Amino acid sequence: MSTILNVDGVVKRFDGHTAVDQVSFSVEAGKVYGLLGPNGAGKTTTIRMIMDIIAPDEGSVRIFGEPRTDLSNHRIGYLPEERGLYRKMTVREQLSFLAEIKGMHRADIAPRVDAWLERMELVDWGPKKVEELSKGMQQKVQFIGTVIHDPELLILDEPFSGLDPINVNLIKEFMIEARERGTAIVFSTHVLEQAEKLCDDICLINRGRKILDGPLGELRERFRRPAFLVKASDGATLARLPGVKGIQVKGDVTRVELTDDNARETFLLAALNATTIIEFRPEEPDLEFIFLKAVRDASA
Amino acid sequence: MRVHKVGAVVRREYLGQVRTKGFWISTALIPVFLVAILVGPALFFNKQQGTLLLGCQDATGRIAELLVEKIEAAGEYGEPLHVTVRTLSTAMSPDDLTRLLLDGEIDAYVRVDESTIQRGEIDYRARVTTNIIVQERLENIFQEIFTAERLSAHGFDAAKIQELSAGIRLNVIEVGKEGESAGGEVRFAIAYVMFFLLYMMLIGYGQHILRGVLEEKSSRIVEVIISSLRPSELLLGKIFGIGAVGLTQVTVWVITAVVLAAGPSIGILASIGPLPSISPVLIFHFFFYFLVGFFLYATVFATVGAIHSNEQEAQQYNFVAMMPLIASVVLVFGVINAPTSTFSVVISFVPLVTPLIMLARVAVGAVTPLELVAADILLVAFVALEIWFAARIYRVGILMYGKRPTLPEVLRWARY
Repeated sequence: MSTILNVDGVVKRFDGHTAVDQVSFSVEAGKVYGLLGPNGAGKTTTIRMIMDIIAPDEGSVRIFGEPRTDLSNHRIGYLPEERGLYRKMTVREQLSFLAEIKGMHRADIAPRVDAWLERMELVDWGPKKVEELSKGMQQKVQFIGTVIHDPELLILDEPFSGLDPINVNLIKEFMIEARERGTAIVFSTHVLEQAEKLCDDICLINRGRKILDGPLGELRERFRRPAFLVKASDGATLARLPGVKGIQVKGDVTRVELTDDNARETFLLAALNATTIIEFRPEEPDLEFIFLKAVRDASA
Repeated sequence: MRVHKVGAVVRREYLGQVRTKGFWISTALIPVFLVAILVGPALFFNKQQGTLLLGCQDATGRIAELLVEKIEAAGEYGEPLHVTVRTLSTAMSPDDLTRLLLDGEIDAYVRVDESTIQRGEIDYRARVTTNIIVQERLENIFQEIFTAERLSAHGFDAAKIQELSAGIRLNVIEVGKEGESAGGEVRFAIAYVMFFLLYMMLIGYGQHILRGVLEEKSSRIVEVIISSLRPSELLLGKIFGIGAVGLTQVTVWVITAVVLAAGPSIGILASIGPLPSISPVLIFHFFFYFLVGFFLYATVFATVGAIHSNEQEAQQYNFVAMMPLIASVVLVFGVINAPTSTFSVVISFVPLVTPLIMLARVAVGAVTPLELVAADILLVAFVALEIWFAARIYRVGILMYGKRPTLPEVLRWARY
């Protein structure tokens, strides 16, 4: 497994406040890395330092194992948070231009543009000027521009903002596909649910500081509570069973929190006797829970 | 610097302009417009300028008649003088005359008696006093009349005076290595047309660059671009691309002008007579000053764009950047009139105005080769230094958002 991106202790201060404070993480090939945190946490500033748009006050960024060079630019695709295209250029010209400054040969560009327009359902819009497109379509064009040169490292700052669910799926599909091919993907979002199924690794940032990072599966294990989601014919009876700390009824599913993990067997046996169990599964902690818990732990 | 990438930017900028209808329309219309505003008024005012109704209260009984004669004769050795003389009764009081004037019966009046002739001073009263060319010609006519009057008062023969003081005409012939040609007014017109063409191009393309940089910045596309190329490559590509657009335009104009000048004289060209030769040095310098001047101002305007976030903010510095160009327009009138004066020579060595002022001086043929070469070298050196400096500010500026930086902050960027 090769490390594609290495962020080492970067710090950025603006007029007295520290936007990013000692953030470190690394991203492997073939992984989707989520940079998560609320608005203003320092995600975009971190990304801008990775992209060399602003220089870190401290720390360093290494890409493909070396400090950034002009050549490594060709191997990176970057989708900034604030989108922008040349309004007067046609979609096709725009994409050709973006591909060309990424070092692609002009002969290779046209078929690639065609394939992408097809995929993103924009074929009819190729000869239209960007300003004639809807906002969502412009976003898709911008996304194509980011990935058209098959980058080995993709950096997507809030890639789903402003997109409808269909287009969010188009982009998610692409991300999963690219990961299969070995692309390293860093993406940031403040909507934690979006990262839920997509990320292999995450980094949680709050107020400029990293509060947690690691493989999402491991983090889920670490933050797992002794809680189960039970579908039973009579959910309410579960509350009185041994080892139960408390229950919440959510529709036909009852969330049962136990006193500790060891109480599981006792509880399950008692439950089978008390009522008919239709479904029984351990609760996966979601990212929101992990985030809030980690923030509390960090400040404690 | 990677040629491939700069080339992509150059092509984007160039084709983005040259493929538009607007470019070809403006290429066709700018010279027409310029000739119209420079030559038009001269034709228009001469033809359409109404006749001036000049009242003459003549106590001598001789002058008014002479005045009418001389005004008619003026047309024979120059532009016709559109003045009609109306003799006013000597019985009228100054108040009566003022009333006539204010009622619009006459446009102006003069009062002449024997003492006027002796003093050589005459009051011209009029509602409008800005028609200085007509006034000057009237003054000349009175000069002739009074001189003749004084001479005859001293016993000279009136007919002899008339004969000896026949009108004089100054024939201007420009002598160059290539031979003789009509210089003067035509030479003057060529200098003006070239000067204003260059002026409009420098302002126009400068503004184009400014808007382009601001568009990239405010649409944030610059972040995407900068993830692929260096700021200096983007800047250079932009300047070369737009420069090529301008060069295309200049080439179209020069070819058109050469074809028109070489071809059979037609229409208005025929009426001008033999054209003064447009020397290769002048054509070369038109291209040269366009190119170098374009680099000079394109970098200034690109820097102004890079420092600001939108057009409103950029207005103030934009105006400052245009000042040397506007100053050139004010200065050029003096320079063309006295192209070899110390003042003209000195200001043509100030790099910010060299392209325009030197072009005007070259166009009127009043520059020594040594001067020209020295000024050109100074200009090129200045532009090289300027590009280096501007590129450093641009590099930082295009990625800066938020509040407008102060001048010391901008200067600090150059040291990063």
